[in-house]
Amino acid sequence: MDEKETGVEGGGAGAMHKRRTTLEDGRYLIYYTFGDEADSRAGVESRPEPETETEAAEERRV
Amino acid sequence: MSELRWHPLLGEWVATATQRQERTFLPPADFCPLCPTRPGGFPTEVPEETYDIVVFENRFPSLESDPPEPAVEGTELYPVRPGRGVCEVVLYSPRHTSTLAGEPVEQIHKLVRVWTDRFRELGALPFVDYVFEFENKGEAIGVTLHHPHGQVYAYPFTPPRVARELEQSLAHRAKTGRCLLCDIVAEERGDGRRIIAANSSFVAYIPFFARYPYELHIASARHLQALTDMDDDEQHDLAGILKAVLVAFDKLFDLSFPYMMVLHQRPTDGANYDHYHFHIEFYPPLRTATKIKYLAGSETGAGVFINDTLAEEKAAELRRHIAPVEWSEGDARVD
Repeated sequence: MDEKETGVEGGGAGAMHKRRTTLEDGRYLIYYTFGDEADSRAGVESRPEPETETEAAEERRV
Repeated sequence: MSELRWHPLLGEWVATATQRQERTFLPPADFCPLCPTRPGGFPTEVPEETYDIVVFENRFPSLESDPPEPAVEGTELYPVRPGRGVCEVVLYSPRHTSTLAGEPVEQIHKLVRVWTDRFRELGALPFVDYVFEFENKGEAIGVTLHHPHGQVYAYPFTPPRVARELEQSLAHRAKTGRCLLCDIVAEERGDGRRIIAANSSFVAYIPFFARYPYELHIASARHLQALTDMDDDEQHDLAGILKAVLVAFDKLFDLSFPYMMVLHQRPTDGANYDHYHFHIEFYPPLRTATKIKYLAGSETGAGVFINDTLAEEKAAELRRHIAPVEWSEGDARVD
């Protein structure tokens, strides 16, 4: 399996890294990782959202 | 086998890809081909034990970068050409049971950056004229794999729906001197009844002309044509409004809301598309919690959508479920 780092790009969530590999059947696969968080976020849950209409109506800007 | 056959009645290409009949269909979770390959487990598409976001060439592509010659010979009436292009799969998360709505907004921000990179890289290929990024979500749409993922089709032509938008945008600019979508956004903001959410860089609305009950558009506030035109703040804001809308969709009927989500950007054929305006469109198939809006005779055979609902009422329903998006401490910004 061929493998190479193909690019780094800056941004608000840290640098974006691309690691490009070639699968056995010739197709490419690219791993994207970001800053220091790379490969460490499995299992992270999103925050629960407010449930009431009042809470939702208070702020619609997102 | 991938080939393009010309539809002379409509003046558009039809992709024929017979190998897709063999693609994996709703496998059990233990045999999901989009999960990481676990130690001792069966080999999936991703040979490593975990990942953040992964992109790979589709095993069952509708278009191929090096396609075979067409299986049939074309004629003057029926032109045929190799199905040259690229089809990619974008894995949003290693967690099989997640969805884009369920991912942290920071992960959606990462996805926006990956979309941007795919648009740039695929759009630079000499045989690609249009990069189409999209997600089909839910069995109601016909997905064959539940793992959270989207797709990218890099076409060797500008697809007809986008071509029509480009024509309409150009005609509007010739007539008024203004951008069509800028005017649509101004009209929606002025009316207000169909606005769902907004931040500094984007506005989400169910358009006046919605064809599906919960059809939703997200347009950039700034007149720009593609993800690559956005600055960091705009990409951040795009993730924020996507998170808000996706969570609201799921809350609407308290279920994982099915949809088609498509990004409409400028073609990448090198021509000038200053008259066009980036936006995202959602086409959710549900008209109630249990009923689907089918595309039947009028929609499919005549091209005339019948919407059984009022956009103003559906917007009010959906708006009630919009809530502020919480960013992690290290990435907090004021919207």
